[in-house]
Amino acid sequence: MRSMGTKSLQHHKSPQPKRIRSMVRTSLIVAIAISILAFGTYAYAEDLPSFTVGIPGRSGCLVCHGDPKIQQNKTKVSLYVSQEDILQSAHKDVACTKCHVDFSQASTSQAHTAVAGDFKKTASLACKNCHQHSGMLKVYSKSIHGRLSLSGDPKGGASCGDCHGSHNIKSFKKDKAYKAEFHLKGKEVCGKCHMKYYESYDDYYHGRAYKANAVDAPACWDCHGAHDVASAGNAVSMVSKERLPKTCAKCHVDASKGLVSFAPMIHGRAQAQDKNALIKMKNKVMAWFNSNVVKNVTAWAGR
Amino acid sequence: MLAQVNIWVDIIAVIMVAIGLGFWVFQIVGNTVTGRFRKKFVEKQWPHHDEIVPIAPKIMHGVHVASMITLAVSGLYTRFPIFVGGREIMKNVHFVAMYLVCIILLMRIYYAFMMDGRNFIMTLKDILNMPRVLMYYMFIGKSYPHLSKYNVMQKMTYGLIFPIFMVVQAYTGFSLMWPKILLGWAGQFAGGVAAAAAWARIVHFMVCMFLIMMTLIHMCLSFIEDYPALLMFFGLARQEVHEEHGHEEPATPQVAAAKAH
Ligand code: HEM
Repeated sequence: MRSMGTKSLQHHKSPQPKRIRSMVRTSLIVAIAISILAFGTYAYAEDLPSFTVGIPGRSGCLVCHGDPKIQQNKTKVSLYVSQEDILQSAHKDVACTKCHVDFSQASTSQAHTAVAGDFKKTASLACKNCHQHSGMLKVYSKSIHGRLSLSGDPKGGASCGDCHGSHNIKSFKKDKAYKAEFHLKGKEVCGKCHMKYYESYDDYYHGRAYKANAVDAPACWDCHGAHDVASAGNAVSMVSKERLPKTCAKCHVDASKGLVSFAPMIHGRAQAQDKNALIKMKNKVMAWFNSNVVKNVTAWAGR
Repeated sequence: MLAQVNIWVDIIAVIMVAIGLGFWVFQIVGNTVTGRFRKKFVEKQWPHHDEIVPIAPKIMHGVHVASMITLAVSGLYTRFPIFVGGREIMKNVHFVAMYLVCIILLMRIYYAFMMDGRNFIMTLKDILNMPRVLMYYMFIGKSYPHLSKYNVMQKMTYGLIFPIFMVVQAYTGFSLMWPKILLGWAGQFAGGVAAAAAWARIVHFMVCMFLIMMTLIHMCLSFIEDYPALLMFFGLARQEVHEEHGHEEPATPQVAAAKAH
């Protein structure tokens, strides 16, 4: 698909250069005209016509979407797709329309989609259409994210692309460095929706170490699961009372009841600090000191 | 429960550091007010020594200091990772230093058995002397009877408390590496080996903080009581030996008292 657009420009050794040149010119004009008609609803902040031609190496959808300046007219949301990202991604040989399955050439809608809907969501869940990912789909569709996402629940659940990324998606199996890099992305991946929990992940050896980029500290999904994630109250959740010993045993030998009783600290250090009698007393003393001494002294000094 | 224990452990750690630093303040003020500083640092009335300290304990002490500082820094980073990305290096540094400190500990114990163990043996006389030694350090008494190279507090610290705590530290440290082997026995009490390891971690951290507190006190007294000996022990000055000096007749009470260091 990507090789379509600029091919005609490459036949320089023609026996009739004049004719060819005029053909090229005509086809360029036609291309520009079609583009203006087709993308009439998109506009550039600055120079309008330059994006369809003269961009070496880009073709297909990237002729337009490969330009960093492309953005949606009304919302100003960028519609730019980095060619570099695509070339480095696990999907570099996959056509755009394999994920953007709702793309329609005939469509005149803003997102070139034939059916009304969230084209991003569609693309983000498109992994399910590929044979290689069908195993994951089975697991994912039972998870809390999958159930919400696949049923179109307005609350929304994280779809594949929300966690794995889109145009820059990479393979964990083939790219070990990326796997290590991804391990440290808890904030970006889960924190996007679950920031409160990411912030409370602050105990000594898990959260704090994780946030200091410790490779041996668990990422959110190491304890909560990834494709099979379930809410903590659910018995099937990796962090449910029933399953916690097995989950902790991934790292800790013989993680039976004794260790599991320590688990609340993982997200509860701040609360434990607030509950501590001495710290409570210190806070009270400090509050008294601030409101009585500091305030009076600053008031007196300010006179 | 562990959450609360850990919070308390942190509070105790802060208190221990505060005690160590507070001790410095207390000693500096006390020595200034009682004029001990003037006698030592101005009038140069330092304790006399009647034997040359051999090179071996000096080297062992030097290596021990370096590895203990390394262990404390890298260990504390494990608990409080205050900067990003140091985990791997700190962990490896801790591992190297822990073997080093264990080797030095064994060597020092061997050396004590072969050479200078008698310096650390506590006698009844020492124990009876304890109140006076303590009173001297608290600036209540002017001096205390000088019985041997080390006073009772030093004997207790160097010969008993320190070795015991180092063994505990090494044991809890190694049990974090090999919990199954070293904590199998504790699993049944703690509710599993992993839980025992979690407790071992707390003990390891507490001992670390205790050693830091003791080291702060040790540094303070070695600096204040016998600065020349401190320099000498680190190879920064030559040792002066006074052959004629007798234990029973100290030149001044302060000198005799300070000599213990
Ligand atoms: C003597 C031999 C020692 C051994 C075998 C040892 C071993 C260990 C090991 C295996 C860890 C766990 C590291 C990790 O989680 O990756 C650790 C942590 C630690 N070590 Fe040591 N260590 C030793 C001595 C010391 C000393 C002397 C100090 C301090 C003066 C110290 C301070 C610490 C601290 C503070 C931690 C972190 C504890 C925590 O996580 O709360 N260690 N040590």
